Amino acid sequence: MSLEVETPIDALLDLMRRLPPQNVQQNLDKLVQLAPEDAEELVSSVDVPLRIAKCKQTGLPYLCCDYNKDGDSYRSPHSNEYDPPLPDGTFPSAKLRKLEVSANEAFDTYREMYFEGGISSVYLWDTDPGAFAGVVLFKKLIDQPSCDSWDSIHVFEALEKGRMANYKLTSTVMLTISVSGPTEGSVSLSGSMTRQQEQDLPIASIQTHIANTGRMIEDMELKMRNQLQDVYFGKTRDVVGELRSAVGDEEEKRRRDLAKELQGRFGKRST
Amino acid sequence: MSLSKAEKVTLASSFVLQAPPGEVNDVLSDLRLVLADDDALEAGVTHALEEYNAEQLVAVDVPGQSYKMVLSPAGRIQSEEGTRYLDPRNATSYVVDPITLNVSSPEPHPIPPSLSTFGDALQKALDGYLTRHFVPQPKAGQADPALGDAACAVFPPLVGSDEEAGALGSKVWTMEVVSSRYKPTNYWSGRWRAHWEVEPDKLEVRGDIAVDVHYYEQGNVQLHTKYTPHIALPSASVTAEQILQLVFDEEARYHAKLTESFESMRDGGFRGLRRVLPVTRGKMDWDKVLGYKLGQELAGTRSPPVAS
Repeated sequence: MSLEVETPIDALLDLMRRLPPQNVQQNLDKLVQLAPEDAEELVSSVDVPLRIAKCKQTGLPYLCCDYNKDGDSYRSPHSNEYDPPLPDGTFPSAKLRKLEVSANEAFDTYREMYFEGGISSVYLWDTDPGAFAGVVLFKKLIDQPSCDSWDSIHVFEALEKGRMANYKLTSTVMLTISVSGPTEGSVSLSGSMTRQQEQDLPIASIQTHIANTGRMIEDMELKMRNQLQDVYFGKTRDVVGELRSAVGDEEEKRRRDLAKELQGRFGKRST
Repeated sequence: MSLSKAEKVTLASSFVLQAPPGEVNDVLSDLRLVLADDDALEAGVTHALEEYNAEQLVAVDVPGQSYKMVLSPAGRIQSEEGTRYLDPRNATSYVVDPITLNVSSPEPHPIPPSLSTFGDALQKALDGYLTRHFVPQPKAGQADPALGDAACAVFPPLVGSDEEAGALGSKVWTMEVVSSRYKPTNYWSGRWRAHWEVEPDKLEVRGDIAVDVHYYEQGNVQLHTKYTPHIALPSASVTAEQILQLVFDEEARYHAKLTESFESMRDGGFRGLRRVLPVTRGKMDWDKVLGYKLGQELAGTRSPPVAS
């Protein structure tokens, strides 16, 4: 990796980019112990699989992350209350809370259409006048036959500029897939991928923000799903093929010779 | 609450042991920056590095030899002066620096003839298998090959004489195969390790195959596999060539199965987590979605909003 590593926090983040994603939570906990002075920055910069909590008021599940956390409490998107209770906690303004309620409904529909299960949560917070930020979370777990999971975290900033708004989106998907059995032993693929996107889109009313961020997130998830499929089940398999040749050296040589011969013929014809 | 030096070293060691193929030096330099105490780290993680090198079957250059020597727990000799590693091919043991991998201080380590005959035959057969399936070679249509290498070794039981060898109840020869590739320009590294315990007296070969891949372009994706086959031998007088044929068959079957399991994970687990497109095959109509919620409540019906 070509990133410059010069300070302890760079080194901690570099370690998290190298250590097995299968153990991300345990390794993060250990690094926090090892470097308590950088713990806060480390924890806020490293994505871990989302934790599920149950809303005390509505009984509905919701997702926990750094953005609905205040002290040791998490805010439910359903009730807008903290658990454990935190009356002095940070809340979105009344106007933004209204948008947050609508956004939770809209992305819940999206979740049902794409994930056919799982959990979604949206949290919004005020930043500067004419601007706000938010996070859209999805989590789907399948326990059987193996423990597979998808966690996506979409953090965005929205800045209104007249009839347009500028959106900066950072999306991370964490994906774990595994199989095991007597003939294949255990096979585990796990990891995360982060992508960014910036776009200017027209706005008619405050509600337009939901449609705008919705389309951006929908496009981003489609793109990332394809990239994840390519890396997990294509590139990784190809690397395994580089480590051990399934066909053996003689067949590899025969294929090389054939490729050379075809190239030669093609070369002649095209001149 | 701050940790003691020993606790810090224990944590640091656990990270060293998790280093992806070819990245242990990067993990070490990160830990140096985090701990800011080079002396404690060097002293403390030396043990973890020795563990890592032997567990990962790190292959090192031997002065004056064309092959690479494999560091393996089966060739590790502990003495009061420290750890030495056996190179069974030239019956010599060496001191190997766990950090620089520099090989030094050769000492003869004679292998009793009753063990070396079978061991040499296994080595010869294993060398052939290594060349055919693990030694890097250019692939058709690939101009820019990956870095890396492949190595193998056969370790006899670590005894000093035929007499001691005769006293062993049942003899185990350990075969190690390691194949590593690094391609930083394409952001990946990988390692295939195979460990085989050949025990003719028990008519058995026990395998342990592990494949690790790290793909790190704008992310961190890792593959970890583990497979522990048992092969039954037809008789105690089975030849080295026959054993290698059985090992090859088993490993080829595993490789094919592993390739298949990428497909079954894609078509099974992955597809079950998130659809490419909704069941309607169209993207969501975001302009209608809020109105849809309202309409759904009013009409009590349910049909998803879809852009036409």
